[in-house]
Amino acid sequence: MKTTFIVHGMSCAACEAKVRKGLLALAGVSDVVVTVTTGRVTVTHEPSVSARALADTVVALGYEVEDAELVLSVEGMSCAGCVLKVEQAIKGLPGVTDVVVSLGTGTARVRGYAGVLAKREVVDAIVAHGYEASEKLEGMAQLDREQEIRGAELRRQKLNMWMAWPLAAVIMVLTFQGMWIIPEFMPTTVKNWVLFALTLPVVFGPGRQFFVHSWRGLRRGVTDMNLLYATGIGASFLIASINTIFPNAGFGGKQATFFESAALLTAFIILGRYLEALTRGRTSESIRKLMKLQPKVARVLRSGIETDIPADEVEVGDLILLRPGESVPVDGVVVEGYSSIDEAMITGESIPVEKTVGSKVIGGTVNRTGALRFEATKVGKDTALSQIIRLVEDAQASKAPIQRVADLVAGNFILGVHLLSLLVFLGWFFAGYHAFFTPTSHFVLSPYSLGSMGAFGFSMLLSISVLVISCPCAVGLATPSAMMAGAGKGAEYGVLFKGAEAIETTSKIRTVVFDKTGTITKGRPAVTDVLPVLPGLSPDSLLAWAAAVEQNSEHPLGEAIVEGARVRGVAVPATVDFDSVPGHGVKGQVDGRRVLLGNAAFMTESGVDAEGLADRAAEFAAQGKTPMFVAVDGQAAGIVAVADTLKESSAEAIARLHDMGLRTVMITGDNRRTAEAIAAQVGIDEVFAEVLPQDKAAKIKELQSRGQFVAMVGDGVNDAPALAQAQVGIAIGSGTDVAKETGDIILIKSDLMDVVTAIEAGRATMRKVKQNLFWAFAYNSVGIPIAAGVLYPFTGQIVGPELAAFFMAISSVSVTLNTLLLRRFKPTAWKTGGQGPGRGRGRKAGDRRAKIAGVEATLAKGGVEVAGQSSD
Amino acid sequence: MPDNHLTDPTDRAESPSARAGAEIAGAEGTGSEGGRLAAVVYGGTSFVAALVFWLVTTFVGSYPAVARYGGAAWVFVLFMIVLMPIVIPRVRNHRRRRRTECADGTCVID
Repeated sequence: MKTTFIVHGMSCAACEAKVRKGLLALAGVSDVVVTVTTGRVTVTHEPSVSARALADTVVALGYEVEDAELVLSVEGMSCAGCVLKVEQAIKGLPGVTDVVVSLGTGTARVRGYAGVLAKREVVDAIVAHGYEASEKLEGMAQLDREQEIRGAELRRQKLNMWMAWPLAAVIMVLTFQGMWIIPEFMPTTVKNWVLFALTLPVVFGPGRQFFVHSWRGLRRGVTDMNLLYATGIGASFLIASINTIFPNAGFGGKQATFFESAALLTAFIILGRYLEALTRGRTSESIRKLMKLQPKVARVLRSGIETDIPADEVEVGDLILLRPGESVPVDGVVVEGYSSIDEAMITGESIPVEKTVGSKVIGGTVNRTGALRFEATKVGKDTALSQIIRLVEDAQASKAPIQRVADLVAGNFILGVHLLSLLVFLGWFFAGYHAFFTPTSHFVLSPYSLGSMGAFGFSMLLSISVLVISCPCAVGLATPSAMMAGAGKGAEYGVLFKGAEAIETTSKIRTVVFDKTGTITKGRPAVTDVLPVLPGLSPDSLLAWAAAVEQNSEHPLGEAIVEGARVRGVAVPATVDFDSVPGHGVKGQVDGRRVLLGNAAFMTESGVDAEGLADRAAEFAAQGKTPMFVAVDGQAAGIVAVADTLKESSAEAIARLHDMGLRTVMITGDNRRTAEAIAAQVGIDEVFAEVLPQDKAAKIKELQSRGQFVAMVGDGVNDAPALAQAQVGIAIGSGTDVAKETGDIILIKSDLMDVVTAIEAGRATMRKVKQNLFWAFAYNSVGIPIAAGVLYPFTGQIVGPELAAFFMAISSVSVTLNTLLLRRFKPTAWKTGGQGPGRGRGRKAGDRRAKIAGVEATLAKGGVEVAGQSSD
Repeated sequence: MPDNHLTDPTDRAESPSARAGAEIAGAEGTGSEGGRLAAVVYGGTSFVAALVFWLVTTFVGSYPAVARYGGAAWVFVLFMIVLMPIVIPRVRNHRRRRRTECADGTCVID
């Protein structure tokens, strides 16, 4: 057989020879053809040589084998057993290196070697195990398809219910034949045949799906929940049929038919399936909300003609026309017009943002007042909204470590339950029946006695009840359903978890480490104080002089002074004879007066006596500000203090983290005095100052070595190692792409209250997961022993199969319903009257149904304002 | 990673590797030699278990025929269900390992 890989890193004939020789050295490889120009390596080998062995050899030789990823929608999975079944089906295929199947999203994410991984083979393998598979579509198409599939499943189960429940009800009534007037019209023998005729369509109509699915899996050596149903329903029906057809066979005779068990079992299981299908879709509502934000049509100006085209077909560089009330179809930059745009659905900001030439517009937001013409800069998968959607989808389709344990338990659960069922049968048959059975004993919640039931019938009943009451579904659904809801909720509030693992680890955080510049502070120096000392000199005049000499400077502090004057509306006069003394200050002639601006040393060197300002300068410095002296005509005129200002929510966020029992740490390259001043203002517990960028990760490691579970919040390239080192890396929205790629969580805005939201969302989700797992395991731990008859010796009652089926249906539905309670989750910052980021901005609970995340959603690479480049 | 790196399904259906894939897939089914071997193991073991049940109930105690035969059938079914998921993957893996060893020339031919 031949296998073709795409190999990167081969650059010459020597590489070709190396790869060829290395592969030929493998036993079973007969020929290797290497094409350096295309990077293709075709290996002829025995089937016994796996693609993985070949790829490993290439990698060991120092080259890279190209990966491929395939995302498929899988229909028909209903429990964790199905997940295991589909994963097993795919894992053995040639070229597959990793498989993650998600029950919640109904997807299979398959990774493998490009050139070897074949879509058709993967699809065929899934189909052969009894499921439907197709390539996952994008965006709304996928949404429509999912709705269609769920709709079809709901219709199918509803039809099954319409068939199963009326018949089961009639069967139930007929079962009480001895009680009412029915004996007058229908003798017992006839009744059994009527019951047989009524149960047959229930078992082989609506119940057929369980037999088909379980057989498909079983013959390939895998089990799922359907097998429990099939054995339970099948055995009940079989015994009942034998007792009807051969009443003297000894199964309890014609009085002991279990048709009602088989029928009600089927009906309850189908009811459970229906309710599950109904509720499961609701856990992915967030992603639907996001997708619905994507406009379908764009009005494009091509060759001077306005044309309405699908938004997917817009190309970078297209000119797009936007009228009032229309949605922005893609990301872009305004080239003409003036308007205000409602970005609430992306940024959460309720006040519309003014847009003029040069402003950026975000796809999915809504134009309010004027007409705009903008140039598309990000289209299709590159738009901020698409990337947010992809991140949420990825998080929902991934698995948390806790889920892998649950999957393992649920996957082997069915086998364990069958084994237990066998032991229960043997135990009661050989020992329990003879020791404890009394003819007057009866079923739970039923007045009917077990009568003359023999050892076989009694043991079989308990054996079936064990099969039916056990519910791996609840165990399997406990984690993924909560994770899906949690990831969606996070996105709703501007927190993007990159995977389920990120949600789980976030809930365990005990220490939060913040980068200073751009994270706690705005990362942009600003004028904080203007202190004139010359008699009659106003602060504005002092600022005007300072800005005048700084307007030609490119120093960040100088830019801050010029910006400070602009913000205060101070007119800045022109400067002549400008001169800059690096590291000291600047000077020039302003309105005929000699103005100097710089540090104390610069004043001394220039012969200016600034001693009188020394104390105030020291005070500013102690507050973490940089004081700059201003002198006019050789006289000290005052001080302009510049500092990196705190973000509005920093202190509040840190206070809230303390309320949550978390420890806060700040890490910065700044000097200790400035760092401690900032830390004191926001209430940070511990400060690491004067830390070189390359040492930040070491500091995180130091905290971890003290046994702390650490989250790092940062924005800059220099934060990336620390973000990676921390158990949870939280990248803030205005940060660099590197930080966002490294982080486990992306906060779409730059508001530190979103760190609080992320931790609250993580904790709420994990609380829900633990509740679900507790109930699922508790249900099984209590239900199975009771069904096995442990209480019978004391109470004389056993659980009938139909009651067991009812409990089973209730358990998995209750897990899903409990998860849906997460929809009520609201972070502290967003609660009415809370202390959230929206205070004072008119943002109230519920005023943004479609809020979802993020400013300039800086997720898109390039084209993003980097507001907070860290400099420390 | 873009999907266009995936091999075209139609091409793969005709290619030698597709045939090899089909061989592997076949080995996983029940119709192949491996499948038959697995069936013999789980079927045989289940039959023996059912037979033991029948013998015990026949010669020990006074169980009616239906309990003996019905119980044996139930034991057979449950044993099959328990053994199939255990035996099939093990036989499949064993045969795969053996094929690899034979390709390396390290296996002992019976």
